Amino acid sequence: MNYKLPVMTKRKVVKSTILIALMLTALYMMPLALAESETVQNITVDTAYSMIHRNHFFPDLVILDVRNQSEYNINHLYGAVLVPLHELETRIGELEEYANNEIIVYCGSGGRSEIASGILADNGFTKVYNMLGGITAWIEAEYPVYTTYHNVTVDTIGRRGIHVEIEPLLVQMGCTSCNENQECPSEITNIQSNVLEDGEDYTVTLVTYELDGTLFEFTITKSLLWSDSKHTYHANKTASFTLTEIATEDTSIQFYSLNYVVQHVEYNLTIATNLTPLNSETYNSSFTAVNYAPAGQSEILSLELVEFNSSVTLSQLYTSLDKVAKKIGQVYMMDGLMNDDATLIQLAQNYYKMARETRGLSWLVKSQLPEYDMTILNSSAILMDIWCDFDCVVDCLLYLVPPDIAAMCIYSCLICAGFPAPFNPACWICIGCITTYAIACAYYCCGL
Amino acid sequence: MKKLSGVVTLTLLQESSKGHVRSVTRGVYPILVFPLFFSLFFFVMAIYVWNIVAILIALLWLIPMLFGSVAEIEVRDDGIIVKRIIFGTSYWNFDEIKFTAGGRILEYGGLYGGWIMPFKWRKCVEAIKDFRQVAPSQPRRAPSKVRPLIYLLVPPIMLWIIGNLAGYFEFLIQPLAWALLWGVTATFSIATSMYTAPIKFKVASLGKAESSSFIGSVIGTIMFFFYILITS
Repeated sequence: MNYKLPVMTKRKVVKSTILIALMLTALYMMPLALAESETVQNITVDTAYSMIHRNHFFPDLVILDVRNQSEYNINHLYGAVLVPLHELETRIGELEEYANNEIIVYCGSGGRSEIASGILADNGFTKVYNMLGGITAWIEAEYPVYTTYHNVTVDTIGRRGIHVEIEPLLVQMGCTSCNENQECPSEITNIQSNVLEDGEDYTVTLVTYELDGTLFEFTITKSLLWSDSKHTYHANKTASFTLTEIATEDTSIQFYSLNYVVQHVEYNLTIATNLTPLNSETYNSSFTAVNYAPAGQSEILSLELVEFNSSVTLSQLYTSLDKVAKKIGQVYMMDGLMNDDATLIQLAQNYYKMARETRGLSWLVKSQLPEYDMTILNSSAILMDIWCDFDCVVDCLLYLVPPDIAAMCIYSCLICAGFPAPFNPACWICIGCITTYAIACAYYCCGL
Repeated sequence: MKKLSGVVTLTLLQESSKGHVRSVTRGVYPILVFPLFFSLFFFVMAIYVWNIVAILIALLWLIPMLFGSVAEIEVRDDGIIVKRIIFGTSYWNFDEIKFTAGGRILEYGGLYGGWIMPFKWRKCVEAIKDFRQVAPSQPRRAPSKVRPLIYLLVPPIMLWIIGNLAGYFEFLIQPLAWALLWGVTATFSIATSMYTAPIKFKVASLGKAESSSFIGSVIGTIMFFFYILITS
């Protein structure tokens, strides 16, 4: 059958093309055109994404995050400006230069951004877009976010291969303090511990505490099953495997702990695994914490929650964590290079170091702890990169040493300021104090 | 021109030195540079994290360091005068000073003096080098260099020991009382030490006893507030 295509003149082709282009543009611009009629327009995450990524239409677009600092730290849209809702009215002056720009406002799930949009409109902002569903909807739509917090799922496939899936962590920030309307858990008070026995390879500690006025006690017996240490010119590595038994009058629980500490000249890294035994051949569950640059009260720069979907042996657990850390490192490296973000690139390098150390631990378990290299039914892990935190440094400088010693330090410094000569012993006490303070706090807070 | 010596009164010094200033420069005490930077760093961090207690403590530390680290050196015909903002003005004869590090560091007064780096050290050296002491300064009244140090260091050390012993025997001392004790001890200790030290100095137009009491009170107050803040 002969079929002839309709003959189109050149003019018709041009006309049709222009018509189609106009229709597509109209379709695309419709929600935005509607927005022109009102000061505040609700938009979906898809529209927001289009606006952000077709930036030739909106060269002066501003993205405004109205959540709290802690929520912003966990994740935010690339290039978002943070002004928490409770500060918006007082800080509105900072945004005045954008009064006639398009502003996309978002929060966690859309509630706060609606209020914030109203505040902006009342203050003369003409093109305000409230992103419905907030960052939760944005992440669910799989649009990119700046985050160093992830959920990682690990599936072991076959003998060697593993499948790792990395997703941004969705965190719902709730009320963290108790008020009158909430039922608060009872507080444990008056905790005391006394070492009952302290042998070469074991310790027995009695712990007592009060809960709702009742005194409870339990004993903790820690037995060292294996330990190893290795010293090189740039790092000290120590590993230990202990059995802990916690016993009360009625019951007792046992778990194994594998602790691996690397004190490198450039960083500190700890890998701690707790293993709950099921029987003599299997562990029921394990929880591993991999901590780069450990410190008591520091800011967490990144956090990866790792869940294993299948059982693994102890050495396989570390091999898998090696691959997870490498994969996360790659994610950060790509993000860092694409966005020219030195923090992310540094983070990537830290994860590569974590990968190297977990691989080393896997080898150590295989070679030196074969009898404990058993199958673990349920495994989870947490990988953290902790960074030097100024809050921690200030607290450390204030409260690390007892007040009397701190008073002696400041006293000697004041005397030194009065008689600033090298013969004055107060000057050397002062300098010694400051140096000790600085080193101790840098070590405590920054893992240096 | 009257010779300046350890027993000449302050009034006499001022009268005798009028119109004989050879050179004036400022300088910094090298031994205080590290504590100064540390207190500045502490202050900046306290501001950054906006911790009010830390800011106040850092200020108590920073201000004396800042004012103590710099001084004005006045070279006169009969010696040098070192003027410091909160630690008073002290007077040194030429035979009590010397230059080291090729002239970059001016040492004066030994244990109770200081080592200062003049900013215009060449000018300072030039102003002093041709000068010959007309007559050596009279030996000061058998100055004990150890006694003032004992006054200075022993009371706080005793206090520290008492505090630790009290803690050891679980004897509770109220922080306010302890802060007051520290403040008073520091005041008396520093005032006595400065008064007995073989140096001549003054704060504004006060005499030695008043100046010693003033400096002791300032440091005692700083210690009191420091202790209150750190235990708050």
